[in-house]
Amino acid sequence: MKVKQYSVKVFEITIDSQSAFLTFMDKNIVMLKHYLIYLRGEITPAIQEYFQKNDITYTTNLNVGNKTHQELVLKQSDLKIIDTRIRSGQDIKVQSDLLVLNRINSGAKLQVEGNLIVTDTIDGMIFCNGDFMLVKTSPKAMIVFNGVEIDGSLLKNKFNKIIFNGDEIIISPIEKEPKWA
Amino acid sequence: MGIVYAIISGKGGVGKTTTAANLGIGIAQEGKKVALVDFDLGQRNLDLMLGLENRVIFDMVHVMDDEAGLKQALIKSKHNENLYLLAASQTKDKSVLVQEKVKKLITSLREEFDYVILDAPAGIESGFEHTIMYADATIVVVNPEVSSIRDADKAIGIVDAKCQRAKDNKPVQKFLVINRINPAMVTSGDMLDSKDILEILDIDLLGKIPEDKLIVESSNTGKPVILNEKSIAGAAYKRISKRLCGESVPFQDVELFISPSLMVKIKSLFQ
Repeated sequence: MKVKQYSVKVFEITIDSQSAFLTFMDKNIVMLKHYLIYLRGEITPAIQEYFQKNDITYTTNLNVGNKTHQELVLKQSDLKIIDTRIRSGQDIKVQSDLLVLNRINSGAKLQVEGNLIVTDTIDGMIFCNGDFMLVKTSPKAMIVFNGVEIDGSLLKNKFNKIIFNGDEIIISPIEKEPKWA
Repeated sequence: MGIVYAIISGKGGVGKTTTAANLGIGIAQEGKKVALVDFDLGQRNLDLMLGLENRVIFDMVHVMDDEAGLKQALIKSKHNENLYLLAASQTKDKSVLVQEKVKKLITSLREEFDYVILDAPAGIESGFEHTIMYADATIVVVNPEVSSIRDADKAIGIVDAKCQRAKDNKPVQKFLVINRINPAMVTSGDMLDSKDILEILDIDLLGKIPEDKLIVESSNTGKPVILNEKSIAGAAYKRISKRLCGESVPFQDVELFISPSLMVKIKSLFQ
């Protein structure tokens, strides 16, 4: 008898609707085709055909045990990037995470529902409702994080990490200046 | 085909009209044919600055409404034969401007002249939008103070959003003129210096003009300061005009302040 183990890489996917599942597969097929797919839910003929066509291995019966089973949450990346100067009078509302690579001038307003990183000076107003924020020390700015205005004097280092862990806001300076690629 | 420059500032009173009048004469002195167009309908000033207040018979509204020909309405400057003024209407206001007519006017001016300089009204209302709509480039005039810079920032944002060239996905050039720099105050740290302003606005520097008492006098007499050989502001406008005509003129440090007492000390060293 010969036994060979190449690797065990498994994705567990629960099918809610056929169309949603197929669009998800289309988007992630490059990565997923090298994995064993553990399917839960109803497998329609269309899905079966899709797997056959793309030569993907799948199983409906898998017992990996509790020890090694780790739930992997695949989240669609919804990061937005702004690399132009945000000028006075501009009012930008972003539902996702945001990376700003330019200055936010006095009189500009930025509202972000997700996390926020600003790599340049802020003179305007920013409202961030995410869990995480990284800003340069900007004495002229008005920074509101999850409804709390951050006192400018608390931002001491050149860059500051501001985290909201559910019931408190933690501001920690970053000693070394990050290198932006 | 000429180039159309719009002179904008956002805030009023920073020296748009003065800049327009001086650059008009400066470029005309370089031998280029220049048309100055006053877009500040209802509050026309450019004719006063050029000393042409009693010569205005037809204005730009007459031309746009075909009540007068362009040649009839253009007034030749007393100071330079290459410079013509198209005055604003003093009786009508900005609401008479219509996009199509503005486009037609600017197109016909572009055919006749090498440089067309549009003097925008203060503010960012419809009159301003019509001025920048068909301009090839804008000259942003600011004073070294925060309110002027914020208003200019807003105006630049509107140019980037609404100008026809921006809509056609072509780059819109924006040049910065910093007006009324007081060297003594910059040196003492009471006035923003040009480096800070450039960092906020992020556009190309065209020139720096020092504060000059002769400006007031020259506006009142209708003789732009560029014609005055003694004026430091006039010399700065001359350098800017040359830059606009494609000559590379080095920037002078107008912000460097030499106090009179220091001058006395320096002079005493040589005695």
